[in-house]
Amino acid sequence: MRRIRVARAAEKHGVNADPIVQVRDLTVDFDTVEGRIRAVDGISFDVLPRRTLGVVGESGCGKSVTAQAIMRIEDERTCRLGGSIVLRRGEDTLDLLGLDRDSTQMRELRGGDIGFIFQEPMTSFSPVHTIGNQIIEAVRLHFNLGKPEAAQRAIEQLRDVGMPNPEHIMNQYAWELSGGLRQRAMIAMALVCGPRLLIADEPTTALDVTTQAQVLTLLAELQDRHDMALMLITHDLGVVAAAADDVAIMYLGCIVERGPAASIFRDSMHPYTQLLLESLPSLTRRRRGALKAIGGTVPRAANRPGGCPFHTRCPSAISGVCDRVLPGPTQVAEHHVVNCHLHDPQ
Amino acid sequence: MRAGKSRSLGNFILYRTSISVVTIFAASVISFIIIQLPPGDFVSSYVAQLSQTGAIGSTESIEQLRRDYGLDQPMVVRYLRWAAGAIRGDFGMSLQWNREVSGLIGEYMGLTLMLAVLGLLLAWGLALPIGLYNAMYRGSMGDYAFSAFGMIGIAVPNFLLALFALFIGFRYFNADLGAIHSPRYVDAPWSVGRFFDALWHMLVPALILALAIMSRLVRVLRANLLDEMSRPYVVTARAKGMRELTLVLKYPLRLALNPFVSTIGLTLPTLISGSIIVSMVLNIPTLGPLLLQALQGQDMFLASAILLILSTLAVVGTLLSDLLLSWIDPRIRLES
Repeated sequence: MRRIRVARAAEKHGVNADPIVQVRDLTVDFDTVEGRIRAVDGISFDVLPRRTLGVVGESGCGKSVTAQAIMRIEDERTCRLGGSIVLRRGEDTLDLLGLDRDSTQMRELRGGDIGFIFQEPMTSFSPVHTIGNQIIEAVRLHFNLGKPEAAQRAIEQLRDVGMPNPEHIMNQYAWELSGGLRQRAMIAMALVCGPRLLIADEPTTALDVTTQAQVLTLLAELQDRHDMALMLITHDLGVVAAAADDVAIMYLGCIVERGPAASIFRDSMHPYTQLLLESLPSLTRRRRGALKAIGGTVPRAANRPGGCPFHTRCPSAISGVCDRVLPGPTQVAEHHVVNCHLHDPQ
Repeated sequence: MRAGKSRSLGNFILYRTSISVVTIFAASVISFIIIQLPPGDFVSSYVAQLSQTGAIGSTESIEQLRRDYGLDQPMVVRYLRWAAGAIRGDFGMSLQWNREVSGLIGEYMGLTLMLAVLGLLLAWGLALPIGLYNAMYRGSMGDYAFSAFGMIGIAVPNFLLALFALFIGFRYFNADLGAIHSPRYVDAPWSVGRFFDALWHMLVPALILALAIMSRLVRVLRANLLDEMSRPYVVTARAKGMRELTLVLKYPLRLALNPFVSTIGLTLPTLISGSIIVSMVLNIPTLGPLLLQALQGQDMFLASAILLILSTLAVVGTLLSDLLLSWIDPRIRLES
């Protein structure tokens, strides 16, 4: 698979740098008519500066909710958060879960320190406000600028994301643009205040395949140019393989395996990761017959299986162990951690 | 593209206006015909009245009367005569009142419009903040209280409210709610003082009229806002770091206003015709009771004129709300 990556100095993306965001034991519960449902079950991971973290999982595994929790844009009526999300700001650290959602401090971080790109650029823009109006608003929320200066900044940002004829785009509505341009406008809006972390929630899912590659390349270029960390949330392992430095594989609210991309793709340890990789179509390797699929279906979050969440579908599940005990983290290589009884030394 | 936009907006206005003219023409035909549909005409009810009092006119004098009023002509001719006059503002003679229809309507129009506009403003002015509150704090005590109150507002007929208000005003405040003018203004000519005096006295009748409309608007606005508040663009705005209240005012409210705006056209004539019973109960001289009398007495020129004015108001109201809508929602403007 071709790596979408811009050549850069090795020390720029060190694995040992202080993380921008440290997520520890994050839990997300939803209050529903069926009772309280756990969507994210105590996950921990770091987002490192200037690196791309790919978060992969099937729909419903809790990856989007995790991203929303970092932004504190979770649905406040039904969603309960636990654990900690610590953001590093220079020398200071700040637990985002300790902040009020609508507080000045949280609103400063949101869109200022952390930018967010949504899956559906069509519905994520207001249909009755111009693109310009919405980007200018983002600028003025975080910088004390007049309208003309903010507009200038918005135009520069649109040009920065490779938007043709940005002055013209400013006066257009989202529904007048093509899908690719719309997503570019969305990226420009997320970047216009110079965030240190960009969270992209399925940024290419709504786009056609050729546009997908363009957007991914653009994200990699922008990340390099603006020294950002990127958290890329996707269900597409191909996207992660192409773009991520670090990978976290999620299944049913748990991170089952995480580590540097090279290590994960070369020596995947968790049966779920292995099965995911095998189910990927490949252009280079010749394979006969139908693509491999993982047997069974994802259990409903309302009745999560006990023990390891994957044991109901795992071909190598050890009965009496995997269905009883939740596996803890085991370090298998440098920074490469897997939660699986098969690799647990005990 | 900028020029293209303004050109298409110009086209839109032109298109909508010309449609309105056609609609008003159709409405004039229908309101003229409907009045003539019931058996008999003014002359026959006039004769019936005369025979009751014992003064029976001869068949010839009856025919003479018909000729005088042009009732012997075919319908088309009568319509054309009437329409030609109506364009010049001459709606013919009121047979009942024996006066010019235009003068008669003019006399009642001021108070009618005052009551209608005041009612509309009250309905809007109250529905907007209440609907916004209900949506933002859905499920709260306030939301339930306003919703329950709104149900009562929709369910209770407004003439009953008028009776209640009349009773309470009479019993506890010793005030006559039907009096539109303070004693010193009753026979005075219109002046700024008289205008505000009338406005003040109309507050309670307007509130009674506004209540049902307001309650309906609150429900519509609340539902629309809730719908819009769960849209992705709201989350986007939140992710930019917007304050929640500013966000709701700028994005969901703007989109939830569409159905709000599109009801202006329908509300205006409803307010006027809907005020008939309330006006009768409170004894306010508006077009409503006048229309009722005209219909009962088969005073066709007066009735047709009032109907035409009501339908013109509906058409103009709809035109205004369409133009307003195209201004607040670019999708409507650019698609047509």
